[in-house]
Amino acid sequence: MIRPSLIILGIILGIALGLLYGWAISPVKYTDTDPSSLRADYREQYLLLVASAYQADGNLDRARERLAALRDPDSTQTITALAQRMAAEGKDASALAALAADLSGGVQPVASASESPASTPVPLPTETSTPPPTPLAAPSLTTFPTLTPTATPGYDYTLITREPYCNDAERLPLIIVDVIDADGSPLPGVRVTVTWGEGEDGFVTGLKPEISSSYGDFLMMVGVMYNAQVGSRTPPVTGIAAPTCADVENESYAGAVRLVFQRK
Amino acid sequence: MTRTALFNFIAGAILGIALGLIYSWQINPVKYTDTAPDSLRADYQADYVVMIAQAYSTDGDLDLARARLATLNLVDPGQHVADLAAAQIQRGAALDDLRALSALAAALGAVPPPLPR
Repeated sequence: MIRPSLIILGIILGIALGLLYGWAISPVKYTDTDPSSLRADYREQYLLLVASAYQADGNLDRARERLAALRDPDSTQTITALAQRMAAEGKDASALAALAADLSGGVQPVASASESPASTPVPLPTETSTPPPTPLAAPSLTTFPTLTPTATPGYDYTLITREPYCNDAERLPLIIVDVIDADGSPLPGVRVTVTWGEGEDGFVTGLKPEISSSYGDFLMMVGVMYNAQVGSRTPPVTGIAAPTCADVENESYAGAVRLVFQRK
Repeated sequence: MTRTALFNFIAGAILGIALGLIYSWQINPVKYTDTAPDSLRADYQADYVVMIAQAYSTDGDLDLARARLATLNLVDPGQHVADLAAAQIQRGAALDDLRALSALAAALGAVPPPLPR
């Protein structure tokens, strides 16, 4: 005669034994995994390593292969987001910014240490060729963390262009900064510090590679005067304020200021 | 306990184990998420170490390299890097990678293999 109570007891005991074996005696050991299974913080670490390795060897195909192992459908966007977050935390995001820019086709890969450096100048974006700028983020009143030296900490920059920038489509009071090298090639990963009154914030060029790897921007508040400093040694550009622009119907709006810096 | 009762109990236990396995293997199998670098397959681990060495070659930050290697839970990180350099020499890796690995191994106190000319 079958006694259901004993069967149930056996099932319960069997499951308990199975769990005891699976969780305590011989728990799962993860081996032979691939980078796509890494925990979020380790994935970020992996991205940083890929960017640093790319900085070392300039091999974009290799960087792409390494990124492919993460199975991220939009690794460029992930890198850009990580770079923006690191920049906001005051950390050096230049390697990530450079990789994001190059993945987007912004600039040619840097030469490896054993090769002669060869950079391909990329034309600066012009008002006719540049897509409408979009703001990075509204300036916050929180103090930006202590500046961390970037990849270009000891360079001096010359302001070569300062002009109002009116874009009827966007109508945003931006500080638009383009930073180029001595030979005219775009420079991603350059830190720009913006100060106003008691406030301080900053951004890094190259985080919008769809516009240009030399590009960075900052959303101003209308009526506030700002200063913008590129790098840490060049004196800041002072007295920046949103200019008044007028559209085709003569309707006025607060426009942008475009600054172009060239590394000496 | 009679023989019939024992049979029922054992049958129940077998059924329970079978149900557990069906659940764990078919219905809700293990998904590898939130793993650490030390669980990476050997070739990924090797490339991970190469990247650490490449990063060290550009930033020169040995503490950072040590911290990154620590995520691999290596018994002797310096020797591991030196061994990897030797293995990479065997497979004809790029000289820049070998230099980076050798430099990191030496910085960690290990004796790197001689680099090919």
